[in-house]
Amino acid sequence: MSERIEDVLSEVERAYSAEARGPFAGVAPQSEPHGVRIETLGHRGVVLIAADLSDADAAHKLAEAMPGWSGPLPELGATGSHQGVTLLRLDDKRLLALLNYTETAAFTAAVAASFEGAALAEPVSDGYAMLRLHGDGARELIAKGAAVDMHPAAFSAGELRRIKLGAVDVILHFPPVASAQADSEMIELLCPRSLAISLLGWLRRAGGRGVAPNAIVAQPKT
Amino acid sequence: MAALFFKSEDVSYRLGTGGALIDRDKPVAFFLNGESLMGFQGDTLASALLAHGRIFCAPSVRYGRPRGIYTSCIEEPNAIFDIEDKRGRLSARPATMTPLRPGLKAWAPNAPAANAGGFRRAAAPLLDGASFGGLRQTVAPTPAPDATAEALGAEEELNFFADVLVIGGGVAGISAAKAAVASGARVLLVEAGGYFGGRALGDGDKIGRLHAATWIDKEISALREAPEAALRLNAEAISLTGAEGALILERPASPGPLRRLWRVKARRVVLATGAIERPLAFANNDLPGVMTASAMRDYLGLYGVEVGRRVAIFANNDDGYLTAIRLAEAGVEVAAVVDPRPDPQSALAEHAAEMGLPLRKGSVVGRAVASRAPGGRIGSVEIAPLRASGRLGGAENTACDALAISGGWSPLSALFGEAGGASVWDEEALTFKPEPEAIDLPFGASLEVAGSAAGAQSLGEALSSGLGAGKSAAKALGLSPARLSAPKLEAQKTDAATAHWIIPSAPDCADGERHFVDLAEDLTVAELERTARGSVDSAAALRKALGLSRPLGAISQTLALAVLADARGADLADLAPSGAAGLGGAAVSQSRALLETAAKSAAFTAERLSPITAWHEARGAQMGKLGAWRAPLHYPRQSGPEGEMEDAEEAVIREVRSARHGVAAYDATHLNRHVLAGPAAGDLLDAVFAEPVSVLPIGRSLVGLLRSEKGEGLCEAVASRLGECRFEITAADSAHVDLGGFWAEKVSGRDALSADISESWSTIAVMGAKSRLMLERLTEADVSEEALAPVQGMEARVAACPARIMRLAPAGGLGFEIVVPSSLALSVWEDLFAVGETLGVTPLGAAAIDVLRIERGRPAGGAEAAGTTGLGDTVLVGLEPQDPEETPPVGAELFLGDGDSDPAIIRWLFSAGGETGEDSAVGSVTSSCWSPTLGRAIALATVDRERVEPGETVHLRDQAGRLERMRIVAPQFVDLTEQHLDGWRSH
Repeated sequence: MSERIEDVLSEVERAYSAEARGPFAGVAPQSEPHGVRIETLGHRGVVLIAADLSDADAAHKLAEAMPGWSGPLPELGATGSHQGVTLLRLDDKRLLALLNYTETAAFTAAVAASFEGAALAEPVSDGYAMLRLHGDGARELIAKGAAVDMHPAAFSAGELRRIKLGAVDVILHFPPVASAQADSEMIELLCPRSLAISLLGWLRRAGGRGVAPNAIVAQPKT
Repeated sequence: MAALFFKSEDVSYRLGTGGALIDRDKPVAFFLNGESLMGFQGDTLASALLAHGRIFCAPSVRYGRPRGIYTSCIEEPNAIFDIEDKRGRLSARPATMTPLRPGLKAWAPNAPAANAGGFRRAAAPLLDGASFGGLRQTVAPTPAPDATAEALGAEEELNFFADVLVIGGGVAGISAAKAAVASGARVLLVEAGGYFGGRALGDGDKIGRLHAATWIDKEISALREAPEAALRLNAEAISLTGAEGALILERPASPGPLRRLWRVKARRVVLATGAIERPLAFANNDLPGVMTASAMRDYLGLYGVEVGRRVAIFANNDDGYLTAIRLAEAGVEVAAVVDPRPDPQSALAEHAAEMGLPLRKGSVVGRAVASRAPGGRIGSVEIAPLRASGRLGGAENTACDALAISGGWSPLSALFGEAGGASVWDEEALTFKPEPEAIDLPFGASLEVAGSAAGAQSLGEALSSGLGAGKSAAKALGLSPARLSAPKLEAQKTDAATAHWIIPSAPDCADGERHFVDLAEDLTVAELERTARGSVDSAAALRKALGLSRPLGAISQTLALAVLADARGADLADLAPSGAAGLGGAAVSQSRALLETAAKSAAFTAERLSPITAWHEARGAQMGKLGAWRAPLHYPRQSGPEGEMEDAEEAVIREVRSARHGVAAYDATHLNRHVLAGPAAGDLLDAVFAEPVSVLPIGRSLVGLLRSEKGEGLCEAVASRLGECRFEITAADSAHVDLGGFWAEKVSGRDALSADISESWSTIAVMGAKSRLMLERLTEADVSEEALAPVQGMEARVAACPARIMRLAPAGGLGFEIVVPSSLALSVWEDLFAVGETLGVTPLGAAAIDVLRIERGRPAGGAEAAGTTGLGDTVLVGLEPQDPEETPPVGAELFLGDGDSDPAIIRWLFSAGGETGEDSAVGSVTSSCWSPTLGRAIALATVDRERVEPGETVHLRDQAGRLERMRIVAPQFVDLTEQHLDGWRSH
């Protein structure tokens, strides 16, 4: 069900729009409360992999089966990126792969084929909404709602956190960035699609009051 | 107008020089009870008012006596105002802790009473010496400040993690933070007031070779530079006893929210909240103009304000001399320095004598006397020698317009008490102080008290105590403490305070009715002595006996206990208060009350939206809650010749009829969807479904009931077999089970895996006689009866979108479910309504779905009777009125979900002619409605299969307690041909 829609339409079907709408459809893609820029992301590929990741052999086999991936899987609570694929290790049983939307079908099929039941690979691109926070106040904005240590020494690139923000389950990580963008902090948030607008509303309200001055969540001071 | 009291004295009390915190180049306009006044940037509201000579604040709560600004700190009992700026309003804030900002509006909370001249009427008898015993029982208390509005106001939270939390930004707190940071710890230093440095700044001490202000500047700058330190002003610690961390309430001066609640998870807490100066108990010690000596020095040193033109000083310790010296140096006339000690041996006393100040050693102030000026400000004091016998010699009247008092110092340790700490008596310092051992806090931290909060008696002691606490915090964290030592201070000769708790008075006021111990509670020595006659032998018992909702404030507690000990002939040391009920603090008490109110407000839940929600709303649907989802309940249309809107009942009836006889579509995005895969998946599903799942052919589904391990029904679910070892299970949210957790637990340890894919897929249900006709317009797939039999599924493209079509109609009749990727759901839905327009396709709300389900003999959403439905000894049956002509006994409540019915009330069924106690019930009603298809009321019930026969008449007890005759019938009210549902009722 995940092949590219436009490639396979028959003449009759072209009468239909088959218009994909993201969870933030109709919402301005960026907004800037004080000190933080909130960017809503469009369609990205997400594959959920369920497997017994505590089994080293299984984890190794899985790493080898994933197109574009090389090296070991990230540790629990960690992330890794390779050739456009970012892996988020949620727990002992689940791994999220973030990739180009058009590559999800091939990726899913490759993992499923090599495991034959020992791993479950499900395309869940439509199930997640993604946001990015840019700017010096990003850590602080998160700290307004989540009991998570946002100090750079406690949470930095390569790690992920699963938190509640405005009563929404959110996965937090630092996306790989091109070096040209690296001077500004960027945090990516993933949440269930149905809660995207709730989360965005929470972020805008919390950010709208302004982040506290003096970078209180201990931004590195220069 | 309260303001009227001030007009005659509204001249400047601001000195030409001085004021470490104010910027005289930056005037700030503010308002008091609507009147415009000016202050300077850096002022507090209290200092700005005092600069205008406005010492009077409001009449006292019980006696209506005039009261003025009394302190410069957080425990201020009198100067309590409602504060408003463009961000909003804070109620009952101490003026002493309110930073002045442009446009700030301050309102005396009980200004109307002052307007009516209330305080003068009420005060008159007391000032005439009448007894007011027993007033606490007869005078209604002033209503509490609007705590609810504040607690639920513009709240913002911040979660913060630190190794060490230092509470209090005086020299001890600064030293503790410095030592901890130097040892490599992450530190948060919070100060309740608007500046760092505490007493040292106001007193202008020297620290080492530096002036205190310079030392403070240097140390704070160093902390600000340190990457591992964070500092906050106007941030008050209000609780250390929550499991989630210390609570700090910040009231940012601006910008930002009015209040920000910090949840600080620290591993070590250093409490360095300082100490508070105590009053002395003499007659009329509550008049405006009477102020703690240290506060008077603060107003002078920090804000360049003289509290009076001619100031008398009365102290039982060296603070009196320090205050006199500072006042005289600033050019304020000192009327007298009164000290009950006959010959104090201290450097300060000597210095004061050298300056030629009028010292009255071995004397006391027996009474303060109000002037005739408006506002009741003090006009003179009666000073009398204190004889060795304890009696007073001949008093003489000394004119003054302010009186600085000091009865010694008490540590501010309410937070220590809240955390379960106990205090001990320090005979030398004449004070209770916290026991020195660190105590454990519920969030995994340990708490140590430092500085004058721990009983330090001098600046030097406070510095080294703070440094020591910082180092021991570092050590407790496993860090190696930095090698730091406290600055060397010049030793100064001091003399100990002497215990003078109740000051003797002239006979006409010796009854203690005007010797005030606690101004916030209007508590007098006389009342305390009366209370002491009962069995009051502790701080907590005293609080109870006085009918106080909170412990006495730190400012008055020691004095109150001293009066109690004196009256009972007890040893003061034996009354050492402990715990939350004993160790008090006005500020902490108030904040805690706010917190309790806030905790009672409903927990926030986020709302889920379907990809189609915007369409429903644009269509004018009445939206409501379906679990966590915002869902359409029904879609009212214009009807009738006048174009009026349908009411809910009309809309639901129309929708149900479309679903039976035409075609209707329902957005079922809220269904949960889980994949189960692996060799053990089939067996596992057999164990949790009431029906066998593993025998399903690939591509087939069944509608069944999920069971708990005990065999209780949990919720209805659809199981579909998509591959040899792959199943998909869909179910609505259920109050009885968290499905994500349910499946994760079921596959644990089995050769199976589960994945929650609910959010990725949306389900659109189409139903009704014309539903196939419509579906054929959307897909090229063959959906005929032959190609797609009931409970069969197929992969297909619907409206050009990849989809799965399933022949499912849980509400009966012909129906299909179209499962599409969530991002395409709106597109499919829109196309469906475009091609179905000529067929009259109708959107269905949740209310119509409930009715359709009940007609089909399926409990309405959420009303499954967990643990009973269709299992064990109970069976699901239908109910009909015995006499259909009777008014329908059941129906309307659940029908539209908006009746008066209380869902918590169980509607029991009883055998005809039998007992009608709940123990004798043979069953109960689960759902009911008025059926548009049948034109009558129907209900579903679970009944004891052993005790009820089909066709039998039972009695239903309705909510009013009446019994009505009902007949047991088969639950399938609407005759349908889709046989796949039979598994549901096969038991």
